[in-house]
Amino acid sequence: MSEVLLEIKNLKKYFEVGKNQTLKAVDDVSFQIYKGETLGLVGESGCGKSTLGRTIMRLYHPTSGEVLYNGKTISGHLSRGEEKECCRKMQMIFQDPYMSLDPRMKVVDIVAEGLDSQNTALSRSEREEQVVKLLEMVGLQKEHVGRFPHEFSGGQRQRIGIARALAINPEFIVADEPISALDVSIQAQVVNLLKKLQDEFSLTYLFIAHDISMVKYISNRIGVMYLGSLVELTSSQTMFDNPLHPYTQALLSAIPLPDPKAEKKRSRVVLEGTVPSPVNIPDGCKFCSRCRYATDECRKTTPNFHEVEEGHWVACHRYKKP
Amino acid sequence: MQNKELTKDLFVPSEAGVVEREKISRPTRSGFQDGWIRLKQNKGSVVALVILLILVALALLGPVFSQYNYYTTDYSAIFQAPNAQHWFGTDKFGRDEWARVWYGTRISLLIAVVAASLDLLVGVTYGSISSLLGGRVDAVMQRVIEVLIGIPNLIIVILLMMVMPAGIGTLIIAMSISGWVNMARLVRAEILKLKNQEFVLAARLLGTSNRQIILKHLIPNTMGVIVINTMFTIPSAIFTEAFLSFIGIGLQEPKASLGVLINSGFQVINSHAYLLFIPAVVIILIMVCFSILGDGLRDAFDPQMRI
Repeated sequence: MSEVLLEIKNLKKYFEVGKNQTLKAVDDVSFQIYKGETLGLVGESGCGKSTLGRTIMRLYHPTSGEVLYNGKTISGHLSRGEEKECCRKMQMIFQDPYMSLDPRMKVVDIVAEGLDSQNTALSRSEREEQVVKLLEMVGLQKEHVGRFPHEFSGGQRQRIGIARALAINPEFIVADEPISALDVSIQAQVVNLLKKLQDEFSLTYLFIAHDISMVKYISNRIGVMYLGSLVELTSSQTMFDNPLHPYTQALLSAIPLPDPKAEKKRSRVVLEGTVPSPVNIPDGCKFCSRCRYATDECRKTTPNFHEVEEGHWVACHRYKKP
Repeated sequence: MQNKELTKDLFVPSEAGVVEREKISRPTRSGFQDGWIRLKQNKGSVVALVILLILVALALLGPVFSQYNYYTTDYSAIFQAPNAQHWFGTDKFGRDEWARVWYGTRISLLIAVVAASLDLLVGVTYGSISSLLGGRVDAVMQRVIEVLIGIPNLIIVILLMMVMPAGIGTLIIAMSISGWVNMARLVRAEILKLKNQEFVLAARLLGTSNRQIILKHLIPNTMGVIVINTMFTIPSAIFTEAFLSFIGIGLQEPKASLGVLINSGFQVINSHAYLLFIPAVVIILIMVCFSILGDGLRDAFDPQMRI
């Protein structure tokens, strides 16, 4: 395997939500992201995907644990210089294309924001030239620089957001549900653009989404999250061929098939009950209250997140280390 | 109608390339232009705006048209009704009322605009720092505001007037001491709403400093609230000044403000009602027009109503 770009070690992010109550949004998550790959992160609403992404991006201070970028700790307190360096290498694409662009700014200022704050002394014309180059890269035109965000469609706005993130040549991009607010026909456009840019600039992505088939299309590896923890992590092919965790199996069985005949025969694993509140997580395995294989062991001890075969990690008592 | 068979050769791929597809044909308009266009559609606001502009022009230029000034007394011509010589008549010392009314309007507007600008400056700075830093700083800053609100405004003003010499400066300071509180609260609420929005997070990730975030993102997006609140602060400052002058702790003769004029007109209401009537009409026009314009601006710049 190629070298590790980003390593997350036992990362926890708890929020205080009242007296003696903590919401465990991200609870002891560890994984690695390799250089040049796309790691997809899926899970249902409220399972902590976005919190994880934002904690990696230093928007939240982690409760404990570490984030290492190229072997250097970037979580916790950094000097101004280190912080700037960090900003230059990691960027984020946001979920809602309507909220992620300042409605009062012109496109040229939105895209150039990174250039401005990185102290690169550019003349007006150089700055605009750079912006036009970025806009053309994401399929927009020179004429768009003087426009305001409200004049664009959702897909176009999302591409402006991508251009903004690319302005300072990052190596690593967290894409926080970049397509979930878009129309299906536009989703493919944006995902293909992300793929193209990845080849061109050898980017590394952490791609957060809840549409598992879209994630399969773009990702090399997929991680599945449930209630703040990773339950399974493996290559996207293995994930679809041989899902191990009961939760992953249920998720995969919910994907509709394009072939109507196959779709008719598709059998769904329907999960009982609802997700427990992340404020009040059951003992033992987090999934035990909804798992049809749950045993006493599951209700008592929390399973470790371990590697059952080469590159296939799972947190379930049914799979012991070989 | 003839039923035509649809065959494949009737269809050709569209020639529109990428350029065509991404084109926006509408002319570009900023939020300000949008608001201006909507304001122009609101008849009441336009009328209010025109009346205000006329009043401001008269306040600045009115005394020029008259050969008299606001302080020269003429005991041979006291209490003259409006006539060709003295358009608004004269008062008990024979001073020209036309000159005094517009001079008074000028002073009243000056006090109001300066007081509103101070409110704006202090309120916006205080509110944005308080909301952006958050946590303990925010809590302390909010308690300070609550204490200021707890003290009745009039008491602060009257105490200050007793300590400091009566005059325009004292009036402005007295009104500004607690006047900015409202603005600070509004701005804080607005920025609390904005600061976790994704475009602010994106700015932070791009390494934009707090100062730049306030100046480039937060304040422009709060501009609507700020402008509208200012539009309501100005008439209330005019009113406070008039009230203080009316009860006798504001400006002193021979200086004139609308409040001073109304006060001296009030004393002779039975015999010379025009001395009360004219400044009263001016102050009413100012108050009503500012309120209508403020309402119109609020509607015009409401981002939820963007077309």
